[in-house]
Amino acid sequence: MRSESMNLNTRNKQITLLFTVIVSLIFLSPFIYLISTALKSVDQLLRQPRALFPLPLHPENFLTVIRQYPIQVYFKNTILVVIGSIIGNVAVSTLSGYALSRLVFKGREFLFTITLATMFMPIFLLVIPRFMIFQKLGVIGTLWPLILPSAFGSPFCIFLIRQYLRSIPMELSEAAKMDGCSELVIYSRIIMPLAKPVIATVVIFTTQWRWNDFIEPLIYLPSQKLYTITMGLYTVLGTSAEEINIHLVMSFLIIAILPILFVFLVAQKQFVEGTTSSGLKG
Amino acid sequence: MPAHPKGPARVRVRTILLFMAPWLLSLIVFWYGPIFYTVILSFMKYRLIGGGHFIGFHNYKETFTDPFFWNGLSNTFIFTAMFIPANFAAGLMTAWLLSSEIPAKGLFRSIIYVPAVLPMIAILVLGKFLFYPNGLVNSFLALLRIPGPFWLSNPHLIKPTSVLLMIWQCGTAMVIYLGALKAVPGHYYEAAEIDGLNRLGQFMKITIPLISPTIFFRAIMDLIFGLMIFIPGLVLPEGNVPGGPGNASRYYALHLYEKAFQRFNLGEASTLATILIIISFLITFLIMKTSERFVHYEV
Repeated sequence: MRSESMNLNTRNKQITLLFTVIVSLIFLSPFIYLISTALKSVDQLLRQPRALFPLPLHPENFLTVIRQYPIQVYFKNTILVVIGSIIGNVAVSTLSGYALSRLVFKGREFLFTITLATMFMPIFLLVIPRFMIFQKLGVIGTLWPLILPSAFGSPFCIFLIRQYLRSIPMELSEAAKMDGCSELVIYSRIIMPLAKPVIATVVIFTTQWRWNDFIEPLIYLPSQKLYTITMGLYTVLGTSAEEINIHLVMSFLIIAILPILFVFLVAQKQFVEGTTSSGLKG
Repeated sequence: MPAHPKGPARVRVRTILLFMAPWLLSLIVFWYGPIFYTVILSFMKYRLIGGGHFIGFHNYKETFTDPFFWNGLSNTFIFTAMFIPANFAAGLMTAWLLSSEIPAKGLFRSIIYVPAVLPMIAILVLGKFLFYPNGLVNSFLALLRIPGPFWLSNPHLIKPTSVLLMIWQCGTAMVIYLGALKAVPGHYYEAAEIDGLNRLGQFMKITIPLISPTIFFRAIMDLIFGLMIFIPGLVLPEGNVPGGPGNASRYYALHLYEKAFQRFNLGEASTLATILIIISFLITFLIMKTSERFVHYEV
């Protein structure tokens, strides 16, 4: 009886494992195709379209892409946007996350509610008025339209920080207050050093959002010298005879996603924990 | 305290402002202000150059008689109606596989999660080549001796193809469901096993009801994502004809984008945005009202 149920159990496990392997292969195969295509020559693409890694490999495709397209410019612009957004977002989101969790005041819950509500406002419905604001400010034609909104805090990051700071005992703040510390000193000297893990999560998510963003660059950036990496990728698709230059498009794509892939490999834990907490009721 | 009834309170307000001012400014300038401004603009004739003036409901009349409005609305609804259940099934199924006792779980989780952290434009560009007439998908079908269709130039297939590519990013949903599945207390399953419920029965009678708040939350997020769908219509059509083939991927948001930033008709584009805000709000409200019947908030 017992061994029978154990057999059943092992078989269930094997079936589950088999399914998991199949699903993983489906998810993985486009990436194998991506790398394979990026390493082929035009000749190999035409004659051996189904060969996986025909020799010789052509890693010089990457050099061709770097020489043919202004990738350095795209990278520089993207990095500027990422850094500007991180600096602002960490400052603004920790300040307001601190107030919403550790300062007691009337209307705090209301403020938190209207903050959370913005998580349900898709960027796409905001871009027309934002575009007009940026026009009034005279910053269309610069990278500021991509930096300003994210540098002024993000509802998701404020939510993460608030949840985290709530778990730090209030006694800590009260003791510091007895010693005559102001709230700003408590924030910067006591609470922020303790909040390093959640700040790391905020930095990682900001990097991912800004690096991956496509809609806002598409709308706000008028010229190629301002393009971020996602706009660069879109341009390559639109301007080259993509079917002939498929190996170059794929090389470009690999270069474009490599940094974010690296961030993911280093900080997978933060990605998973941050995403998980967004799905739980606060 | 009673000696200085105003003193401490005033310091308080200043402290609160010190901490909250930047975010309050952002709430007004970048979030709530734009929503209100969009509604106002929807009643104006407004061009990017030359400013504007009020014209009442004219934009709404124009919009409702524009065949592209109805075409975009139906494309977006069809996409969303396919995307929500597909992403739910893909996210929950992968989460369920990864919540069982199998070796190398972390590796499998990473593989399924990776596409979700990549830019959507990268997923679509890679996906476009996968679904080319001689791409990976049709090559695979050829192995099975199935003639591959023209995914990107057939008006009936472009939306299902977009859905397939978008659920390649189901990793976000997967991670969230994984968290929800882990939160289901083990003794529920033990009790069910004693009652003689098999695994499918346990899944339907215990797992689904207990994670229903998460399913509900995901449905709303996916609904909003679906209603705003836009980039696949720009990138996927063969020959790079936005909205093609035959307007089958000219989604509502793509129509809005073209109105605003290619024809610079900000008034009518704001009308489109306002209508979309109302539609999103109404559907979300409807789901919330009906959810009380099938979502179980306990624990």
